[in-house]
Amino acid sequence: MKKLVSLLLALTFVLSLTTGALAADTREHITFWYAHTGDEAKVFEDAIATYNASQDKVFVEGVSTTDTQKLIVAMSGDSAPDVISASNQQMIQYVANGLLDVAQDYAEKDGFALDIFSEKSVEASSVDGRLVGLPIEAYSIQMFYNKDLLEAAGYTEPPKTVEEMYKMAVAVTKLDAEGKIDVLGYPLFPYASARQELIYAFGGRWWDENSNLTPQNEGVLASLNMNVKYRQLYGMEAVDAFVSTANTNRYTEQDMFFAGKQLFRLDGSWLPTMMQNYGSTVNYGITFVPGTEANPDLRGSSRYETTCICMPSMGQHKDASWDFTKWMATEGARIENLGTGNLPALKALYEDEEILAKPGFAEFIEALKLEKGVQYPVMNDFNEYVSLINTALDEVYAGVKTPEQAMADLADQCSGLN
Amino acid sequence: MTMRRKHSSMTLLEKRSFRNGLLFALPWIIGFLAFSVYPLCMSLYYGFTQFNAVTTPKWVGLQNFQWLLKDATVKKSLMNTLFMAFVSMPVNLFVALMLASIVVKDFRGRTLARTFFFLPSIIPMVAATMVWIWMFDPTYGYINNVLSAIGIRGPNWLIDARYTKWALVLMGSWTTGTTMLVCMAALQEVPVSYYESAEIDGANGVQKFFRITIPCMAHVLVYQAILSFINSFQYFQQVYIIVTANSGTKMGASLGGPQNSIMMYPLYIFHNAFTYLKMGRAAAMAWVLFVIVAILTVILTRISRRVNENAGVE
Repeated sequence: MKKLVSLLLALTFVLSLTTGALAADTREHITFWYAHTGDEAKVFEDAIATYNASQDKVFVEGVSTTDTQKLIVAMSGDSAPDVISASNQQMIQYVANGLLDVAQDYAEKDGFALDIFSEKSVEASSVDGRLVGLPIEAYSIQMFYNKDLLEAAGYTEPPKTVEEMYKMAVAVTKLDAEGKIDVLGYPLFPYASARQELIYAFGGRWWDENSNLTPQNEGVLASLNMNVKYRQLYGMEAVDAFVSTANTNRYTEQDMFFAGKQLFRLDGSWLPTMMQNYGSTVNYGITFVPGTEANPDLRGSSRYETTCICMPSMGQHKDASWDFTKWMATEGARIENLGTGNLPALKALYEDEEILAKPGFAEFIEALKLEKGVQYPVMNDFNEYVSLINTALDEVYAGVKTPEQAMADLADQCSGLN
Repeated sequence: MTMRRKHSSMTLLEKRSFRNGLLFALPWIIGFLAFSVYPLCMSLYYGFTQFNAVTTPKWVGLQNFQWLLKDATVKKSLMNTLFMAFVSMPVNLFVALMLASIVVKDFRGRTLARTFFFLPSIIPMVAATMVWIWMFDPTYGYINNVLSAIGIRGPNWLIDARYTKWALVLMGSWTTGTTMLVCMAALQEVPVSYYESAEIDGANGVQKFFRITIPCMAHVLVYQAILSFINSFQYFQQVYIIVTANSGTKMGASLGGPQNSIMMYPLYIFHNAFTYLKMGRAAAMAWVLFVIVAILTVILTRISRRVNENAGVE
């Protein structure tokens, strides 16, 4: 009896193994790590599922991770993903450290035309003139304004220059009985926009086209001086308190712009969708980031970032990875752009009706067409430079140093970076 | 030589027992060599190289250690860490001792009070820090609202470089439950007869506390101080969460808080390794930290031994 049971068990075991082997997916498996979470991760999973359904040769397993540390550790070991999504800023750093293959090599071999992407997105995703990753989405920042607040102050049109913007900001800023800011006029929040678009609006640049670092640029100083002038008018601490609270509540139901407590907001194309989702009733408009009276052509200047689909150099399944990469940057891109509310890098999608119907997209796509995007520099120590800029700006905002002193010190500190 | 002779003089049974013992310990030995000794040796080697975790390390001699001496943020992060060690540690110990002195007494609701004071220690640090970020909010935060109710205008805790470290000290004093338990146990060990004798001699509460309680539990306090002190050099999680929550995206706020005021040494190691991809510098920083902590541990252990000898503790 015992022998019979053992025999049966052994037979079952062998059968289950054989059946498993027979049913196993014979497609080439690759892994794709993307840096989106929550609802956005679901959009990526939908795109991956669409790709897998269309395939009999490749199967993609998606992994959502925003942990760059995990990615770097994986790439340094033998568990590197085959394909990753990375911001162009990250991508530049990875390339400098020899972590990524150059997508243009694969594109040329495959006859894959790169002119389907906008010029700026190709520029943003290239290092030394070679496209490293295929751009899937673009980021640009433009100016949102609260129409009701502006009208109450007697203005019918949003500002076209920073000088106009400052006057409107002062007219609208409101303090409560305790001297705390109730409505912030000048767009000092979010931090990132205050440190980029508010600088670019004055013609300021942290680096030039050849990636030389230029913290003492006239535009940078002009922007910081206007920033400090506004802060001094209402008190550094009062402004900081507002910005701190705005930061804690950023992109939540209590977001200061959604709550009608910010006149101007330099932000991205995702903001209208968020406002809709949170049921904000603020009557807002979208316009280009202003220029200056002296140089109105600066109007519409903004950072231009992309998220790229890249292939780590230590990945194993190159052909399958390339096949998925080009699919994701074309057919997958539409699914991704519609689902996440990020702007397209594919030129064809600029005219896509469904894309244009997304709230705010029409205005942002108009801004993209201006091609005034400011690109990140190609340098190994970019993250270090950004850290130094942030610390220097902290000192300016806190009144510890004047803009001129802080930027002169910054120029000294960054002299050793490359 | 002695070992060899001793080994060769083993009986067959002893040899077999020794071999079996080694075999049983082998998994741990392999793990220890692979996951402790090897990384330790490699990190020392990386300290002398230019290395980004992926490409082949390039030998640069003492360059990383020279950079350590020159970099202003290294100095700042070290000073911030020392601040936490020298300010936060005594504050935490004081709070824990006070709480222990309260809950050691026999009163109604004592168990509830002990649970209440201990509870923060078991809340995950990430969740607790996120709550504190809300509490420190200058406009809607609970702390500034309380201060405002008594006529004090609260500061911008997490954005004003003058207050950021004090905010961390305040946060730390909230999670002293474990130290409170240890102090409570030590308080219960103090012989009641000492207090009775002191009462006969006319000592008041303060005198009893400083002349009897503190000397009798000094060895425990010193031990706790050493632990807290060493832990201060590993201060990372709270600041990482605060700066990450504050930075927004990309070119956001500083990686070490306003003006790097809460850039702790371990956080700067982390950023060098994983934000700047400079593993060589990070390894050099880690070894310097190891040396500092080792020296301090030796000093504090000697102090502890002396205190124990005075207290008659083995």
